[in-house]
Amino acid sequence: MRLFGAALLFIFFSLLGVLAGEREKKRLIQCEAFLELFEYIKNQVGYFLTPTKIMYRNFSSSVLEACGFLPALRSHENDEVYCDVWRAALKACKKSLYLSEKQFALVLEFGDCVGKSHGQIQTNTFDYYISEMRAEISKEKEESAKNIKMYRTLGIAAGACAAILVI
Amino acid sequence: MDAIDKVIFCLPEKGRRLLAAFFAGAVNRKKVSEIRLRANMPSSVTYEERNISVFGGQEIIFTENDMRSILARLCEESVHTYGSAMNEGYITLSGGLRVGVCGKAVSDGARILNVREVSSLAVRIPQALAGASAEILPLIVKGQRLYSALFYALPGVGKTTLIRDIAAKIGAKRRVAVVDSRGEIYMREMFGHTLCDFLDGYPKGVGIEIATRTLSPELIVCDEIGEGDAEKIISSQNTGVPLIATVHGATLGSLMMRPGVKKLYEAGVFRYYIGVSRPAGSQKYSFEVKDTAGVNV
Repeated sequence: MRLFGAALLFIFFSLLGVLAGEREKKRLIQCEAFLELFEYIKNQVGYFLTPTKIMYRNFSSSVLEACGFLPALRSHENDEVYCDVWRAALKACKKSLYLSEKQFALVLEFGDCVGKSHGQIQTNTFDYYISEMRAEISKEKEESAKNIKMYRTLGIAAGACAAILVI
Repeated sequence: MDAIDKVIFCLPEKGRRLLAAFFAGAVNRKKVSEIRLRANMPSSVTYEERNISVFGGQEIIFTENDMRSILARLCEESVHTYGSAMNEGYITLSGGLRVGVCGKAVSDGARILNVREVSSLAVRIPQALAGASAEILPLIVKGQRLYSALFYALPGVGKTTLIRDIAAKIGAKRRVAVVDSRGEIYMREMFGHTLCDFLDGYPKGVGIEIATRTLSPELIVCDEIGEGDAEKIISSQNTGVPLIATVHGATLGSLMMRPGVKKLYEAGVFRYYIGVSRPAGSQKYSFEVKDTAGVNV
């Protein structure tokens, strides 16, 4: 019985470590998906002057679909007054986003600029957010490799300790 | 939601509350022709040709930030899409809602590159006035024949409303090409079951040329022809397709001061020159019809 309990604890803590590592991975993937969306919007505004609704309708990303951001954006398409949809969509799917506070703020502020001014002004502003997100991604890449290993090791170590204590 | 409600919903809290209360009162929405929003000055509503700027005992004064946000909301957060139209002084939103835009222009001397610090937004409320053209229609449609006519009036009299009705009436049975450069003639409720083809966003002269060449229309309708369109109109009118157009002007005499219109007059493009007026607050038009010789008809 003790052995069984110890094994369970070991598996539980190890899984916690793995899940924490997965969170890091997901954060990186979501950052990359948002960066892709930023660049898409920049091109659509800069070259084609595409209306915002159509940009949101035509962009596809399995990551942003899965976290509910794109469906939430599109759900406002038939609103009588179309405004602040980015902010509303981000709020609606906040629970399924793994972004850090800074990354979340970047995404939020980017959305606040979409469609609010002349094309050239927008693309200049987008450049700033794109470079900020790129910097976040490269920082995330460096840290996530380390963090994933650390969480796994911590999980296994904590699991082993708990198992030993039980035995 | 009608055009007025759409505008109200785009306003910041205080303006929204005061205007909503005003329109909830005994106001006939069909008599509202314009809502004008201003930065640092009182906003107004043109109702029965009167400008009302006090609502519930208060003035509605927006800040420059408010104006930016109202514009973004009116444009459905796509201000960039309307950039070039805004440089020409107006934007046309869905449902034919036309918004005049004033602000500080950034110009290279010859043309406007951008408009910053929007100071006024003049929202013209489109009116679908079915039957507006009933009195003048027999002059344009005689049996199987259609005749060209140029409608002239001061801004705000309702020329667009008038030719919208003409296009819808004639388009019920005939092929009508509508050159809708500013996208303000089309209204779904009026054109849903007509045989009209819309050239949306085409420059007027080019649109008339394309319509003549490719759509074999029985009638072309075009709003507010400009000075630069005369040559193209004359060359396409040689094909014999009748044209209904409008132009800003108080009298036929004042129109003749404009070289473009004078050219059209001399080329005999239009059979009738029709001055349009409308008493303040009335929805009934008065017409002063002259033929090519300037004789009253």
